[in-house]
Amino acid sequence: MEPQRTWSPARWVAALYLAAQVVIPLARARPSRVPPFSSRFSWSMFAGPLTARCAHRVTWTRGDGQEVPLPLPPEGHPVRALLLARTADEFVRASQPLVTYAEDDQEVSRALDEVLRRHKRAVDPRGERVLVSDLRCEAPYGAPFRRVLTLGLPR
Amino acid sequence: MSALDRPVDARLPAALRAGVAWLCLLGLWSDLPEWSRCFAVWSYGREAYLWAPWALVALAAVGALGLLHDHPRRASGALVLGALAGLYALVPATWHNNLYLLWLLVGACAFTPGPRAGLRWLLKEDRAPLPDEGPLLPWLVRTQLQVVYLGSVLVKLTHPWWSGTGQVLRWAATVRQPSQHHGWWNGLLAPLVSVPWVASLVDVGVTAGEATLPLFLVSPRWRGAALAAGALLHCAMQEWLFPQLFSFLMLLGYFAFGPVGDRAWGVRWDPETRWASALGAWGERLDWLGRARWEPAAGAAFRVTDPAGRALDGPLAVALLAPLTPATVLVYALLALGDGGRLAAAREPLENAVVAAALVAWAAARVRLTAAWSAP
Repeated sequence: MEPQRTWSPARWVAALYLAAQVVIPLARARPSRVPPFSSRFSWSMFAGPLTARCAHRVTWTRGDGQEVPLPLPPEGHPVRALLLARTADEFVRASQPLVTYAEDDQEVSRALDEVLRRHKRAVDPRGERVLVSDLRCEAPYGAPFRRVLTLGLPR
Repeated sequence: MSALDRPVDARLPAALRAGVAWLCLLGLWSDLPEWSRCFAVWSYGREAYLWAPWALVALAAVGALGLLHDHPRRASGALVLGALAGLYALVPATWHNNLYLLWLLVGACAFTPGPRAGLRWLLKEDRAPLPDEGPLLPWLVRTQLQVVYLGSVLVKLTHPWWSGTGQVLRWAATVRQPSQHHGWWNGLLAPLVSVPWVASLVDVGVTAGEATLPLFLVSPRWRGAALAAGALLHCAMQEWLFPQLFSFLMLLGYFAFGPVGDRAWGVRWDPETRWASALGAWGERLDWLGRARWEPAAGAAFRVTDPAGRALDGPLAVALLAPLTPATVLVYALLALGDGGRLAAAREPLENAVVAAALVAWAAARVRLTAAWSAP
């Protein structure tokens, strides 16, 4: 009778370790992302800083549509620089703490939306103002994109 | 007996564990300025929770210190893994694939069995010998490095910025590096790399190199050349792109491919010469993998003999010994990350100069060694 072959714990650990590295990137693969393996859980240099160059403009209006100065966080706060950034260079610098190592360039707009929502709640708890953010980006080797976010539309 | 059953000299796993723990601490330290801005943005509008990401960084540092001490190994490793995973869950903007590689290596170091050693043991003058341990940790590190190369090749073959176009290299040289870093290598490389056909050539060369390195690293005949080529590739990448922890994790991992305890090199120094005695004593202390025989002896002030019997005298011979010990990688990492990114404008040009000088010294020592051998 042939002796039964078993795997030592070392082999199980090794197999699991390798399987995890295949399964994690595959589980995070999305058809919209090029290439599918580019992520913070893979070995690409492009889980890296943003390559998009963006122009951003925020407007802050009263209920009657008149534009008023946007309340800003204190001097030195990274969100202040983000709200004030207009040129591409200013925006690249200011958006680093949003998505220091973005998985794709559009991640910046998703992270920016989240910060703007919190800013709106912080400075306008009664919902009397309207915040409009207009972000236009061009990536050197990707498709340009634009998104307009309006927070606090009059009811 | 397969590679997963053969015991290994425990000095290698000990050096790998201490090295990964050291790099973990340096990585945390150098990420702090960047992370503090991420935390400020993350906590905007919910300032009461700002302590949470800082607490996770502190826990990761405590765990890394435990790993450096190699006690308690599993609990310390679990603390690092849990804290870094928690940080990613809380503030995803902090995460990078360098941290992913660190995370995997910390897991490998913490959950593989072996005798306790730690950095203190490695730095002792008279290290008590360790019993052999299972081969799992070196095997995991070797496999991890090969997975990194093959994964990187896969990305390069499918990514429209690579695929032989060289576009990304031109972007890095002309847009990214001038705006983010202060080293002078980019000033030398940018005019070359911004030429499209040169960028394409470098792109194809890097992809081909990464595809073949894993194969050559497992071939006993080609391993030495592959280790030298890979080390040069990572030094060049580090000095051009400053990719945080990545270069050091990979360079440390290279030691898992090399010999341990072979005492193939020889070092003799004159005990009457002060500088030579100091070099000999420190060199022996830092020879963590037991690659050389260290003997005080009258004669040349400081003499290094390579495995082929070729000898080189003088302080330049130290350059030949530097690649034999993981301590070199840890010192290099300290040079590159020790300022925590706070002095980058001064440190990056200095780092470029120190590394260029070290590579020139190594090359000069190799040339003199070969010339001495071929001379009549």
